[in-house]
Amino acid sequence: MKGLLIKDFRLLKNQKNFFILVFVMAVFLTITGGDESSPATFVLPYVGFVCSFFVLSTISYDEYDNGNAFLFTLPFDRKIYALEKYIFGIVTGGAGLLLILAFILIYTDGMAGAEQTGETLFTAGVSAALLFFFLAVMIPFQLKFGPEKGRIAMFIVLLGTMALVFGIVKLAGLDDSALREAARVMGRMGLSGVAAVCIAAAAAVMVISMFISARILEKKEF
Amino acid sequence: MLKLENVRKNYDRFTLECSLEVQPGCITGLVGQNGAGKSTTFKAILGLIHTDGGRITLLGKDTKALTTADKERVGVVLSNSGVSEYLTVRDTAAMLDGFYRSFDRADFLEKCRGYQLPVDRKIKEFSTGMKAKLKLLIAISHGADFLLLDEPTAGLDVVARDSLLGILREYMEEDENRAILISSHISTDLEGVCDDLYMIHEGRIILHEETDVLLGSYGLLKLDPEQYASVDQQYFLRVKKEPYGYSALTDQKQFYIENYPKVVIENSGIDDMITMMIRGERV
Repeated sequence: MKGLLIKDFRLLKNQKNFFILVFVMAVFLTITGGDESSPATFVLPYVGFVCSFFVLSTISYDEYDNGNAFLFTLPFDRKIYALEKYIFGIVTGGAGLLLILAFILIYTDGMAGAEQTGETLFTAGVSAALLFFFLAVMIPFQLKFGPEKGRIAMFIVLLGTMALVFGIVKLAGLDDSALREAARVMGRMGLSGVAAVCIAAAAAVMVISMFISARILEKKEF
Repeated sequence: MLKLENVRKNYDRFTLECSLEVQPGCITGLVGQNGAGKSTTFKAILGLIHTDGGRITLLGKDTKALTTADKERVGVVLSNSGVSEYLTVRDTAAMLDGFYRSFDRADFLEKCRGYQLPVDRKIKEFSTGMKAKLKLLIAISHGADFLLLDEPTAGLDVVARDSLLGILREYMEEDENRAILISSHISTDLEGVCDDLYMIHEGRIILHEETDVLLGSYGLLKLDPEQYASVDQQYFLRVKKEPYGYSALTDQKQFYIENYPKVVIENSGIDDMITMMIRGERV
Protein backbone atom coordinates (compact mmCIF):
# COMPACT_ATOMS: atom_id res chain seq x y z
CA MET A 1 0.00 0.00 0.00
CA LYS A 2 2.79 2.41 0.96
CA GLY A 3 4.57 1.95 -2.37
CA LEU A 4 1.32 2.50 -4.29
CA LEU A 5 0.53 5.68 -2.37
CA ILE A 6 4.06 7.01 -2.95
CA LYS A 7 3.70 6.26 -6.66
CA ASP A 8 0.35 8.03 -6.93
CA PHE A 9 1.48 11.11 -5.02
CA ARG A 10 4.59 11.30 -7.20
CA LEU A 11 2.37 10.96 -10.29
CA LEU A 12 0.16 13.72 -8.91
CA LYS A 13 3.10 16.10 -9.37
CA ASN A 14 2.33 15.90 -13.09
CA GLN A 15 -1.07 17.42 -12.28
CA LYS A 16 0.10 20.31 -10.14
CA ASN A 17 -0.83 22.97 -12.70
CA PHE A 18 -4.34 21.54 -12.86
CA PHE A 19 -4.52 21.53 -9.06
CA ILE A 20 -3.45 25.19 -8.92
CA LEU A 21 -6.03 26.07 -11.58
CA VAL A 22 -8.82 24.37 -9.60
CA PHE A 23 -7.80 26.25 -6.47
CA VAL A 24 -7.59 29.60 -8.29
CA MET A 25 -11.00 29.00 -9.89
CA ALA A 26 -12.48 28.10 -6.50
CA VAL A 27 -11.04 31.23 -4.90
CA PHE A 28 -12.29 33.37 -7.79
CA LEU A 29 -15.80 31.88 -7.57
CA THR A 30 -15.84 32.39 -3.80
CA ILE A 31 -14.90 36.05 -4.10
CA THR A 32 -17.33 36.76 -6.94
CA GLY A 33 -20.07 34.50 -5.56
CA GLY A 34 -22.60 37.26 -4.69
CA ASP A 35 -24.24 38.11 -1.40
CA GLU A 36 -27.52 36.19 -1.47
CA SER A 37 -26.18 32.80 -0.48
CA SER A 38 -22.97 31.29 0.78
CA PRO A 39 -20.40 30.91 -2.04
CA ALA A 40 -19.80 27.46 -0.62
CA THR A 41 -23.08 26.22 -2.18
CA PHE A 42 -21.48 25.91 -5.58
CA VAL A 43 -17.74 26.06 -4.91
CA LEU A 44 -17.41 23.14 -2.48
CA PRO A 45 -19.29 20.53 -4.56
CA TYR A 46 -17.33 21.77 -7.60
CA VAL A 47 -14.02 21.22 -5.81
CA GLY A 48 -15.13 17.82 -4.54
CA PHE A 49 -16.13 16.75 -8.05
CA VAL A 50 -12.98 18.04 -9.74
CA CYS A 51 -10.66 16.58 -7.09
CA SER A 52 -12.21 13.15 -7.57
CA PHE A 53 -10.66 13.20 -11.04
CA PHE A 54 -7.15 13.09 -9.58
CA VAL A 55 -7.52 9.44 -8.68
CA LEU A 56 -8.90 8.66 -12.14
CA SER A 57 -5.84 10.26 -13.69
CA THR A 58 -3.57 7.99 -11.62
CA ILE A 59 -5.47 4.95 -12.96
CA SER A 60 -4.86 6.29 -16.49
CA TYR A 61 -1.16 6.78 -15.72
CA ASP A 62 -0.97 3.20 -14.44
CA GLU A 63 -2.58 1.87 -17.61
CA TYR A 64 -0.56 4.04 -19.98
CA ASP A 65 1.67 2.06 -22.33
CA ASN A 66 0.67 -1.27 -20.74
CA GLY A 67 2.22 -0.15 -17.43
CA ASN A 68 -0.22 -2.25 -15.40
CA ALA A 69 1.49 -5.48 -16.45
CA PHE A 70 4.71 -4.54 -14.67
CA LEU A 71 2.94 -2.77 -11.83
CA PHE A 72 1.02 -5.91 -10.91
CA THR A 73 4.23 -7.94 -10.61
CA LEU A 74 5.24 -5.77 -7.65
CA PRO A 75 4.64 -7.13 -4.15
CA PHE A 76 1.07 -6.15 -3.36
CA ASP A 77 -2.32 -7.77 -3.54
CA ARG A 78 -4.85 -6.82 -6.22
CA LYS A 79 -7.37 -5.99 -3.47
CA ILE A 80 -4.85 -3.59 -1.96
CA TYR A 81 -4.55 -1.80 -5.31
CA ALA A 82 -8.32 -1.24 -5.35
CA LEU A 83 -8.38 -0.11 -1.72
CA GLU A 84 -5.47 2.27 -2.31
CA LYS A 85 -7.33 4.05 -5.11
CA TYR A 86 -10.24 4.84 -2.77
CA ILE A 87 -7.90 5.99 0.00
CA PHE A 88 -5.95 8.14 -2.44
CA GLY A 89 -9.23 9.60 -3.75
CA ILE A 90 -10.47 10.40 -0.25
CA VAL A 91 -7.15 11.95 0.78
CA THR A 92 -6.69 14.13 -2.33
CA GLY A 93 -10.38 15.06 -2.60
CA GLY A 94 -10.62 15.66 1.14
CA ALA A 95 -7.48 17.81 1.13
CA GLY A 96 -8.89 19.91 -1.72
CA LEU A 97 -12.20 20.33 0.08
CA LEU A 98 -10.57 21.26 3.39
CA LEU A 99 -8.30 23.78 1.70
CA ILE A 100 -11.17 25.57 0.00
CA LEU A 101 -13.39 25.23 3.08
CA ALA A 102 -10.72 26.93 5.17
CA PHE A 103 -10.49 29.74 2.63
CA ILE A 104 -14.27 30.18 2.45
CA LEU A 105 -14.61 30.23 6.23
CA ILE A 106 -11.88 32.81 6.59
CA TYR A 107 -13.17 34.87 3.69
CA THR A 108 -16.91 34.81 4.46
CA ASP A 109 -16.44 35.13 8.21
CA GLY A 110 -14.05 37.98 7.58
CA MET A 111 -16.39 39.72 5.13
CA ALA A 112 -19.86 38.95 6.39
CA GLY A 113 -19.58 37.62 9.92
CA ALA A 114 -20.19 34.08 11.00
CA GLU A 115 -23.90 33.73 10.16
CA GLN A 116 -23.17 31.57 7.12
CA THR A 117 -20.71 29.26 8.86
CA GLY A 118 -23.31 26.60 9.69
CA GLU A 119 -24.56 26.54 6.13
CA THR A 120 -20.99 26.37 4.80
CA LEU A 121 -20.14 23.44 7.03
CA PHE A 122 -23.34 21.69 5.94
CA THR A 123 -22.38 22.21 2.29
CA ALA A 124 -18.90 20.89 3.04
CA GLY A 125 -20.42 17.76 4.57
CA VAL A 126 -22.71 17.19 1.59
CA SER A 127 -19.78 17.88 -0.77
CA ALA A 128 -17.72 15.23 1.04
CA ALA A 129 -20.63 12.83 0.56
CA LEU A 130 -20.74 13.77 -3.13
CA LEU A 131 -17.00 13.18 -3.41
CA PHE A 132 -17.42 9.71 -1.88
CA PHE A 133 -20.28 9.02 -4.25
CA PHE A 134 -18.33 10.16 -7.33
CA LEU A 135 -15.39 7.98 -6.33
CA ALA A 136 -17.68 5.03 -5.64
CA VAL A 137 -19.26 5.31 -9.08
CA MET A 138 -16.22 6.27 -11.15
CA ILE A 139 -13.45 3.99 -9.86
CA PRO A 140 -15.03 0.63 -10.79
CA PHE A 141 -15.94 1.91 -14.26
CA GLN A 142 -12.44 3.23 -14.80
CA LEU A 143 -10.90 -0.07 -13.66
CA LYS A 144 -13.24 -2.17 -15.76
CA PHE A 145 -13.35 -0.22 -19.00
CA GLY A 146 -10.33 2.10 -18.94
CA PRO A 147 -10.33 5.90 -19.25
CA GLU A 148 -12.27 6.38 -22.50
CA LYS A 149 -14.87 3.63 -22.45
CA GLY A 150 -15.14 3.99 -18.66
CA ARG A 151 -16.53 7.51 -18.89
CA ILE A 152 -19.06 6.53 -21.57
CA ALA A 153 -20.17 3.45 -19.62
CA MET A 154 -20.48 5.52 -16.44
CA PHE A 155 -22.70 8.15 -18.09
CA ILE A 156 -24.89 5.45 -19.63
CA VAL A 157 -25.36 3.81 -16.22
CA LEU A 158 -26.01 7.15 -14.49
CA LEU A 159 -28.59 8.12 -17.10
CA GLY A 160 -30.14 4.68 -16.79
CA THR A 161 -30.32 5.03 -13.01
CA MET A 162 -31.93 8.46 -13.29
CA ALA A 163 -34.47 7.09 -15.77
CA LEU A 164 -35.17 4.18 -13.43
CA VAL A 165 -35.69 6.47 -10.42
CA PHE A 166 -37.92 8.75 -12.50
CA GLY A 167 -39.89 5.72 -13.68
CA ILE A 168 -40.33 4.40 -10.13
CA VAL A 169 -41.48 7.85 -8.92
CA LYS A 170 -44.03 8.01 -11.74
CA LEU A 171 -45.22 4.43 -11.37
CA ALA A 172 -45.47 4.59 -7.58
CA GLY A 173 -47.49 7.77 -7.92
CA LEU A 174 -45.26 9.72 -5.54
CA ASP A 175 -46.27 13.37 -5.51
CA ASP A 176 -45.45 16.62 -3.75
CA SER A 177 -46.73 15.33 -0.43
CA ALA A 178 -43.94 12.73 -0.36
CA LEU A 179 -41.39 15.46 -1.00
CA ARG A 180 -42.93 17.61 1.71
CA GLU A 181 -42.76 14.66 4.11
CA ALA A 182 -39.07 14.14 3.21
CA ALA A 183 -38.42 17.84 3.82
CA ARG A 184 -40.17 17.59 7.22
CA VAL A 185 -37.97 14.60 8.21
CA MET A 186 -34.85 16.47 7.14
CA GLY A 187 -36.00 19.53 9.06
CA ARG A 188 -36.27 17.47 12.24
CA MET A 189 -32.75 16.05 11.69
CA GLY A 190 -31.13 19.47 11.33
CA LEU A 191 -28.38 20.41 8.90
CA SER A 192 -25.64 18.42 10.60
CA GLY A 193 -27.92 15.37 10.79
CA VAL A 194 -28.72 15.53 7.08
CA ALA A 195 -25.01 15.93 6.24
CA ALA A 196 -24.12 12.97 8.47
CA VAL A 197 -26.78 10.79 6.81
CA CYS A 198 -25.50 11.82 3.35
CA ILE A 199 -21.91 10.98 4.29
CA ALA A 200 -22.92 7.66 5.86
CA ALA A 201 -24.99 6.71 2.79
CA ALA A 202 -22.15 7.66 0.41
CA ALA A 203 -19.63 5.76 2.56
CA ALA A 204 -21.87 2.67 2.41
CA VAL A 205 -22.05 2.96 -1.39
CA MET A 206 -18.27 3.34 -1.39
CA VAL A 207 -17.74 0.13 0.57
CA ILE A 208 -19.93 -1.77 -1.90
CA SER A 209 -18.04 -0.12 -4.76
CA MET A 210 -14.72 -1.19 -3.20
CA PHE A 211 -15.80 -4.84 -3.22
CA ILE A 212 -16.88 -4.50 -6.86
CA SER A 213 -13.53 -2.93 -7.81
CA ALA A 214 -11.60 -5.65 -6.03
CA ARG A 215 -13.63 -8.27 -7.92
CA ILE A 216 -13.00 -6.50 -11.25
CA LEU A 217 -9.26 -6.52 -10.58
CA GLU A 218 -9.21 -10.16 -9.50
CA LYS A 219 -10.67 -11.12 -12.88
CA LYS A 220 -8.54 -8.75 -14.96
CA GLU A 221 -5.68 -9.96 -17.16
CA PHE A 222 -2.71 -7.80 -18.08
CA MET B 1 12.96 -22.66 -8.02
CA LEU B 2 10.32 -22.69 -10.73
CA LYS B 3 8.28 -25.52 -12.18
CA LEU B 4 5.55 -25.40 -14.80
CA GLU B 5 3.59 -28.62 -15.19
CA ASN B 6 1.31 -28.84 -18.22
CA VAL B 7 0.33 -25.20 -17.92
CA ARG B 8 -2.40 -24.37 -20.42
CA LYS B 9 -3.82 -21.08 -21.59
CA ASN B 10 -6.35 -20.95 -24.40
CA TYR B 11 -6.86 -17.98 -26.67
CA ASP B 12 -8.96 -17.88 -29.82
CA ARG B 13 -6.06 -18.53 -32.16
CA PHE B 14 -3.32 -19.65 -29.80
CA THR B 15 -2.90 -22.23 -27.08
CA LEU B 16 -0.02 -22.37 -24.64
CA GLU B 17 0.81 -25.83 -23.34
CA CYS B 18 4.03 -25.59 -21.44
CA SER B 19 6.13 -27.56 -18.95
CA LEU B 20 9.53 -26.35 -17.82
CA GLU B 21 11.75 -26.20 -14.78
CA VAL B 22 14.42 -23.84 -13.46
CA GLN B 23 16.86 -25.23 -10.90
CA PRO B 24 18.54 -23.17 -8.14
CA GLY B 25 21.88 -21.76 -9.27
CA CYS B 26 20.91 -21.97 -12.95
CA ILE B 27 20.18 -19.53 -15.71
CA THR B 28 17.57 -21.10 -17.94
CA GLY B 29 16.80 -19.63 -21.34
CA LEU B 30 13.54 -19.63 -23.22
CA VAL B 31 14.01 -19.14 -26.95
CA GLY B 32 11.49 -18.91 -29.70
CA GLN B 33 10.19 -16.74 -32.48
CA ASN B 34 8.01 -13.71 -31.91
CA GLY B 35 4.56 -14.95 -30.96
CA ALA B 36 5.85 -18.39 -29.91
CA GLY B 37 4.47 -18.00 -26.38
CA LYS B 38 7.44 -16.66 -24.41
CA SER B 39 5.64 -13.61 -22.97
CA THR B 40 2.48 -15.64 -22.31
CA THR B 41 4.59 -18.08 -20.31
CA PHE B 42 6.03 -15.24 -18.23
CA LYS B 43 2.60 -13.72 -17.69
CA ALA B 44 1.24 -17.08 -16.55
CA ILE B 45 4.09 -17.48 -14.05
CA LEU B 46 3.50 -13.95 -12.72
CA GLY B 47 -0.26 -14.40 -12.40
CA LEU B 48 -0.93 -11.61 -14.89
CA ILE B 49 -3.18 -13.97 -16.84
CA HIS B 50 -5.42 -16.75 -15.56
CA THR B 51 -4.41 -20.19 -16.76
CA ASP B 52 -6.85 -22.86 -17.96
CA GLY B 53 -4.99 -25.81 -16.53
CA GLY B 54 -1.77 -27.15 -15.06
CA ARG B 55 0.25 -26.08 -12.07
CA ILE B 56 2.94 -23.45 -11.53
CA THR B 57 5.26 -23.71 -8.53
CA LEU B 58 7.55 -20.80 -7.71
CA LEU B 59 9.91 -20.71 -4.71
CA GLY B 60 8.37 -23.98 -3.55
CA LYS B 61 4.78 -22.71 -3.53
CA ASP B 62 1.85 -22.73 -5.89
CA THR B 63 1.92 -19.26 -7.47
CA LYS B 64 -1.70 -18.70 -6.41
CA ALA B 65 -0.56 -19.01 -2.79
CA LEU B 66 2.38 -16.60 -3.05
CA THR B 67 2.35 -13.91 -0.35
CA THR B 68 3.56 -10.35 -0.67
CA ALA B 69 6.77 -11.39 1.13
CA ASP B 70 7.29 -14.17 -1.43
CA LYS B 71 6.81 -11.71 -4.27
CA GLU B 72 9.58 -9.56 -2.79
CA ARG B 73 11.95 -12.44 -3.60
CA VAL B 74 11.22 -12.17 -7.32
CA GLY B 75 12.62 -9.58 -9.72
CA VAL B 76 10.89 -9.00 -13.04
CA VAL B 77 11.61 -7.50 -16.45
CA LEU B 78 8.76 -7.52 -18.95
CA SER B 79 9.36 -6.89 -22.63
CA ASN B 80 6.46 -4.50 -23.19
CA SER B 81 5.93 -2.95 -19.78
CA GLY B 82 7.81 -1.11 -17.08
CA VAL B 83 7.35 1.48 -14.35
CA SER B 84 5.20 4.46 -15.27
CA GLU B 85 7.12 6.63 -17.69
CA TYR B 86 5.70 9.72 -16.02
CA LEU B 87 7.92 9.03 -13.01
CA THR B 88 11.59 9.89 -12.66
CA VAL B 89 14.23 7.44 -11.46
CA ARG B 90 14.17 9.23 -8.10
CA ASP B 91 10.36 8.81 -7.91
CA THR B 92 10.79 5.15 -8.83
CA ALA B 93 13.35 4.68 -6.06
CA ALA B 94 10.93 6.19 -3.52
CA MET B 95 8.18 3.88 -4.77
CA LEU B 96 10.37 0.75 -4.64
CA ASP B 97 11.46 1.73 -1.13
CA GLY B 98 7.80 1.55 -0.17
CA PHE B 99 7.40 -1.92 -1.70
CA TYR B 100 10.59 -3.82 -0.81
CA ARG B 101 12.04 -4.19 2.68
CA SER B 102 15.53 -4.96 1.38
CA PHE B 103 15.63 -2.20 -1.21
CA ASP B 104 18.65 0.07 -0.82
CA ARG B 105 17.68 3.44 -2.25
CA ALA B 106 21.14 5.03 -2.14
CA ASP B 107 22.74 1.99 -3.80
CA PHE B 108 20.05 1.90 -6.50
CA LEU B 109 20.47 5.59 -7.34
CA GLU B 110 24.25 5.14 -7.34
CA LYS B 111 23.99 2.23 -9.79
CA CYS B 112 21.64 4.24 -12.01
CA ARG B 113 24.10 7.10 -12.11
CA GLY B 114 26.86 4.56 -12.83
CA TYR B 115 24.94 3.46 -15.92
CA GLN B 116 24.45 7.10 -17.00
CA LEU B 117 20.74 7.20 -16.19
CA PRO B 118 19.61 10.73 -15.28
CA VAL B 119 17.75 10.34 -11.99
CA ASP B 120 15.64 13.50 -12.20
CA ARG B 121 14.40 13.19 -15.75
CA LYS B 122 11.11 11.51 -16.62
CA ILE B 123 11.57 7.95 -17.88
CA LYS B 124 9.56 8.70 -21.03
CA GLU B 125 12.47 10.89 -22.15
CA PHE B 126 14.91 7.95 -21.92
CA SER B 127 16.30 6.08 -24.93
CA THR B 128 15.44 2.39 -25.48
CA GLY B 129 18.79 1.34 -24.05
CA MET B 130 18.39 3.51 -20.96
CA LYS B 131 14.91 2.09 -20.31
CA ALA B 132 16.22 -1.48 -20.68
CA LYS B 133 19.04 -0.82 -18.21
CA LEU B 134 16.61 0.75 -15.74
CA LYS B 135 14.26 -2.24 -15.98
CA LEU B 136 17.09 -4.63 -15.15
CA LEU B 137 18.46 -2.45 -12.35
CA ILE B 138 14.97 -2.39 -10.82
CA ALA B 139 14.70 -6.19 -11.09
CA ILE B 140 17.97 -6.73 -9.20
CA SER B 141 17.55 -3.78 -6.79
CA HIS B 142 16.01 -5.70 -3.90
CA GLY B 143 18.16 -8.81 -3.64
CA ALA B 144 15.66 -11.11 -5.34
CA ASP B 145 16.34 -14.86 -5.27
CA PHE B 146 14.78 -15.38 -8.66
CA LEU B 147 14.68 -13.24 -11.76
CA LEU B 148 12.11 -13.51 -14.54
CA LEU B 149 13.45 -11.62 -17.51
CA ASP B 150 11.35 -11.42 -20.65
CA GLU B 151 13.41 -10.05 -23.55
CA PRO B 152 15.63 -7.85 -21.37
CA THR B 153 17.99 -7.16 -24.28
CA ALA B 154 15.37 -6.32 -26.92
CA GLY B 155 16.19 -3.27 -28.99
CA LEU B 156 19.74 -2.92 -27.65
CA ASP B 157 23.01 -2.66 -29.54
CA VAL B 158 25.80 -5.21 -29.00
CA VAL B 159 27.67 -3.13 -26.41
CA ALA B 160 24.56 -2.43 -24.34
CA ARG B 161 23.54 -6.11 -24.54
CA ASP B 162 26.95 -7.19 -23.32
CA SER B 163 26.79 -4.72 -20.46
CA LEU B 164 23.37 -6.06 -19.44
CA LEU B 165 24.53 -9.66 -19.56
CA GLY B 166 27.48 -8.57 -17.40
CA ILE B 167 25.01 -7.34 -14.78
CA LEU B 168 23.34 -10.75 -14.81
CA ARG B 169 26.60 -12.66 -14.36
CA GLU B 170 27.50 -10.39 -11.44
CA TYR B 171 24.07 -10.97 -9.90
CA MET B 172 24.49 -14.75 -10.08
CA GLU B 173 27.99 -14.62 -8.58
CA GLU B 174 26.66 -12.88 -5.46
CA ASP B 175 24.63 -15.93 -4.37
CA GLU B 176 24.93 -19.44 -5.78
CA ASN B 177 21.30 -20.32 -5.06
CA ARG B 178 19.85 -17.58 -7.20
CA ALA B 179 18.23 -18.49 -10.49
CA ILE B 180 17.05 -16.77 -13.64
CA LEU B 181 14.55 -17.55 -16.36
CA ILE B 182 15.40 -15.38 -19.34
CA SER B 183 13.83 -15.17 -22.77
CA SER B 184 15.24 -13.68 -25.89
CA HIS B 185 14.90 -13.99 -29.62
CA ILE B 186 18.60 -13.12 -29.89
CA SER B 187 20.07 -16.55 -29.30
CA THR B 188 23.71 -15.49 -28.98
CA ASP B 189 22.77 -13.61 -25.81
CA LEU B 190 21.49 -16.83 -24.30
CA GLU B 191 24.36 -19.04 -25.54
CA GLY B 192 26.72 -16.93 -23.47
CA VAL B 193 24.88 -16.98 -20.15
CA CYS B 194 22.43 -19.89 -19.97
CA ASP B 195 23.02 -23.28 -18.38
CA ASP B 196 20.12 -24.83 -20.24
CA LEU B 197 17.66 -23.81 -22.91
CA TYR B 198 14.03 -24.46 -23.70
CA MET B 199 12.84 -23.88 -27.23
CA ILE B 200 9.20 -22.89 -27.58
CA HIS B 201 7.17 -22.93 -30.79
CA GLU B 202 3.44 -22.30 -31.25
CA GLY B 203 2.93 -22.48 -27.50
CA ARG B 204 4.72 -25.79 -27.00
CA ILE B 205 8.18 -26.68 -25.76
CA ILE B 206 9.85 -28.49 -28.66
CA LEU B 207 13.33 -28.89 -27.23
CA HIS B 208 15.07 -28.79 -23.86
CA GLU B 209 18.80 -29.25 -23.58
CA GLU B 210 21.82 -28.08 -21.62
CA THR B 211 23.62 -25.31 -23.48
CA ASP B 212 26.95 -27.17 -23.40
CA VAL B 213 25.32 -30.21 -24.99
CA LEU B 214 23.53 -28.07 -27.56
CA LEU B 215 26.73 -26.39 -28.60
CA GLY B 216 28.92 -29.50 -28.25
CA SER B 217 26.84 -32.40 -29.50
CA TYR B 218 24.41 -30.83 -31.92
CA GLY B 219 25.54 -30.27 -35.46
CA LEU B 220 24.26 -29.43 -38.89
CA LEU B 221 25.05 -31.88 -41.67
CA LYS B 222 25.12 -30.61 -45.24
CA LEU B 223 24.45 -33.47 -47.60
CA ASP B 224 24.15 -33.88 -51.33
CA PRO B 225 21.39 -36.29 -52.47
CA GLU B 226 23.78 -39.25 -52.70
CA GLN B 227 25.22 -38.69 -49.24
CA TYR B 228 21.71 -38.24 -47.89
CA ALA B 229 20.69 -41.60 -49.26
CA SER B 230 23.73 -43.40 -47.88
CA VAL B 231 24.24 -41.98 -44.36
CA ASP B 232 22.72 -43.49 -41.26
CA GLN B 233 19.72 -41.29 -40.43
CA GLN B 234 18.92 -42.68 -37.00
CA TYR B 235 20.38 -39.63 -35.21
CA PHE B 236 18.72 -37.04 -37.42
CA LEU B 237 16.34 -34.81 -35.49
CA ARG B 238 15.11 -32.76 -38.42
CA VAL B 239 15.82 -32.66 -42.15
CA LYS B 240 15.30 -29.81 -44.55
CA LYS B 241 15.49 -29.76 -48.36
CA GLU B 242 18.13 -27.31 -49.62
CA PRO B 243 19.24 -26.20 -53.14
CA TYR B 244 22.36 -28.37 -52.77
CA GLY B 245 20.51 -31.39 -51.34
CA TYR B 246 19.61 -31.65 -47.66
CA SER B 247 20.58 -30.20 -44.32
CA ALA B 248 20.09 -32.34 -41.25
CA LEU B 249 20.17 -31.49 -37.57
CA THR B 250 21.69 -34.10 -35.29
CA ASP B 251 22.38 -34.37 -31.59
CA GLN B 252 25.18 -36.92 -32.27
CA LYS B 253 27.65 -34.79 -34.17
CA GLN B 254 30.63 -36.94 -33.12
CA PHE B 255 29.07 -40.08 -34.60
CA TYR B 256 28.94 -38.50 -38.05
CA ILE B 257 32.40 -36.91 -37.75
CA GLU B 258 33.90 -40.32 -37.02
CA ASN B 259 31.89 -42.40 -39.50
CA TYR B 260 31.36 -39.99 -42.38
CA PRO B 261 34.53 -37.91 -42.73
CA LYS B 262 33.54 -36.62 -46.15
CA VAL B 263 30.27 -35.11 -44.98
CA VAL B 264 30.33 -31.38 -44.20
CA ILE B 265 29.37 -30.95 -40.55
CA GLU B 266 28.96 -27.53 -39.00
CA ASN B 267 28.53 -26.60 -35.38
CA SER B 268 24.92 -25.57 -35.12
CA GLY B 269 24.24 -22.33 -33.34
CA ILE B 270 20.95 -21.86 -31.57
CA ASP B 271 19.58 -19.90 -34.54
CA ASP B 272 20.25 -22.87 -36.86
CA MET B 273 18.63 -25.13 -34.34
CA ILE B 274 15.51 -22.98 -34.11
CA THR B 275 15.25 -22.83 -37.89
CA MET B 276 15.69 -26.58 -38.26
CA MET B 277 13.33 -27.48 -35.42
CA ILE B 278 10.63 -25.24 -36.86
CA ARG B 279 11.07 -25.57 -40.60
CA GLY B 280 12.64 -29.01 -40.82
CA GLU B 281 10.79 -32.31 -41.07
CA ARG B 282 11.04 -35.27 -38.77
CA VAL B 283 12.79 -38.24 -40.32
